Amino acid sequence: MQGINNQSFDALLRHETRRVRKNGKPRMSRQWWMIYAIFFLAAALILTTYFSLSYHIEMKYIWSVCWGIPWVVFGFSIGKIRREWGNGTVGWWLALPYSRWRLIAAKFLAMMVRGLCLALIAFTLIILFGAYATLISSSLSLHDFQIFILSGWLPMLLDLAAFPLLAGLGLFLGVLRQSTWRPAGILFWVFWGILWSLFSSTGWFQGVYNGRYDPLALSAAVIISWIAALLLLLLSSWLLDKKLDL
Amino acid sequence: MDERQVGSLSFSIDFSQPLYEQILTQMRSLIARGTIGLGEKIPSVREMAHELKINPNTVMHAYQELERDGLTEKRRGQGTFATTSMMKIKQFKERFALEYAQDFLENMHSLGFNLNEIHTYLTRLSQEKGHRKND
Amino acid sequence: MTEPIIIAEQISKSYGRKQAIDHLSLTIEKGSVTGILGGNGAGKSTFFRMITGLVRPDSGRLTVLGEEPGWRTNSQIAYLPDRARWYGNYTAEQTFDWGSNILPGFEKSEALRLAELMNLPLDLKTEGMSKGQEARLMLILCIARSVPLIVLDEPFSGIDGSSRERIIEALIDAISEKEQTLLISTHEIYEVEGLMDDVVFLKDGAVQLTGNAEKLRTEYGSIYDLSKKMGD
Repeated sequence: MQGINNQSFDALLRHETRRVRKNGKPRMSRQWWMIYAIFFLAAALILTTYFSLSYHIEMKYIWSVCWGIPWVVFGFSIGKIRREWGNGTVGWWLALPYSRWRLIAAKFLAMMVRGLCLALIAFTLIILFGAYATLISSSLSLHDFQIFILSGWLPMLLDLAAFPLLAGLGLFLGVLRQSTWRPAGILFWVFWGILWSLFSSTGWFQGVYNGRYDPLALSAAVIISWIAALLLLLLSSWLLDKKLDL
Repeated sequence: MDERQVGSLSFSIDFSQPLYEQILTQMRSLIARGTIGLGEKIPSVREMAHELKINPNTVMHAYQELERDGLTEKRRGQGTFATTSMMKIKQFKERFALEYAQDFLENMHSLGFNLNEIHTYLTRLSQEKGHRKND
Repeated sequence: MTEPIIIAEQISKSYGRKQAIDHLSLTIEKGSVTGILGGNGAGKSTFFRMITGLVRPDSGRLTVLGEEPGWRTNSQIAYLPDRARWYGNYTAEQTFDWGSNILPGFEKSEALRLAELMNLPLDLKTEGMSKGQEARLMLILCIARSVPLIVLDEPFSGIDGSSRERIIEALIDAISEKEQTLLISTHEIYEVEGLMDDVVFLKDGAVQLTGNAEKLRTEYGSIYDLSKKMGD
């Protein structure tokens, strides 16, 4: 009976942080990756150079990219569940000697790590872009660059706050789709739509977008995001346990 | 009926009959007739199971019966060997010879044949068999 | 010797109108090799998923290793799911490391020995493997474990002859070296004919016929022939 209940969670987490491609999908070779990377970099450089020489650009709008990252995490999270079914590995996954809660929590944490990596990469690339634009522009000063960086903290912080909610949501929807409760999916989206429009009408997002925010509201958002994530994960593990359609 | 080879020994396995008995009778016969010589090593359970594609437990049970027959003996760490004692084989054969003969006689008696008649049948049969062998 | 490891009492499971398992009662003895046979839709896979807690019976009682099946009992069960695939981004060697860290009772040295016996390359990623190689890898993941119960759902489907041969050899070793209980569902009865201690024929989610393989042979001839008769 040794080690029956203390199989390392660590190992499960490491397993979940590995990227899994869709089975049977041919993989892009390293050379092609390089070609695309170089192409993308060159395009970015040329465009940046052109715009900073010809126009005065409001660099801070580039931070809008950050609004997309939580949704990428959301998409990844849905895929994280769907892939187990699509790749035919779900039998292995569900027969692992871990509670349903730990199975889903490992996926959640893996998605958080993925989100953090994405945010970090985006952050670095944007800063580099800003530095380059400042360097070649005649109208931008070092001070402008400082303001630019400072204006990036808020969207980044919001990203981090949104990750738990959207990772949890993605995993939940992924599981829901494989459960006998599948029809509840529509109900969920209706509910989500109402909530979203109510929330938007408060003008909170607009305020944040323009750099105005209430620190109290922001901390509340973080707490709500984590609590919501926790509830979604609990619900998911319950669905995995009792309502799977296998 | 499948003919299968284990080392130099050949077995025929018929999946429509119990496997345990097939292994037991064929091993008994191999030792009794001297195909496996006195004190010679017999195939391991694993080897038999692999070559015959059968459950090792089935082989093991047959081997245990062989040991009870006195036809084989285990040597610690070396495997199982045919007995080194000619006496034991002789005893085993006698036991069965008596058993078979008794069964035969009982069957014949129950049909009302007397010893003389039975003898005639035996002679005829062995002559026929002799002819067949000569063909 | 006769201690049950799985007890099913009147278990049922339906999907919509389809009755996958229908008041199934069955006992599997410890240390035996049991073949679960039957056509498509007989309920073999559903029964196996119940043993591993993936599916729960709607009614009735199922006991595995003395408990209700779930993730706790799964630590003592090696399960090969039906039509399973392995994670494409793992090599065989990485898979064995994964097994050592995640699967209780998994022995990497044993897995490596089996990989050599079964001619499986260690540094090839699963996505680059042939179907037979992948099947061998998944089988090793199951039988390189010293756990009381091994459950294999169609281990031979879609696998070439030489892989089959090797899988059977590995199974024979698993039976003789460890006192494991082995449950196999398969269409390829001829391959495992000699391996089975007990046989269970399922039909429409219930037991059609069950018994000791040797006794069934005395009565009906080979299990292979019997299965053909049962199919009619």
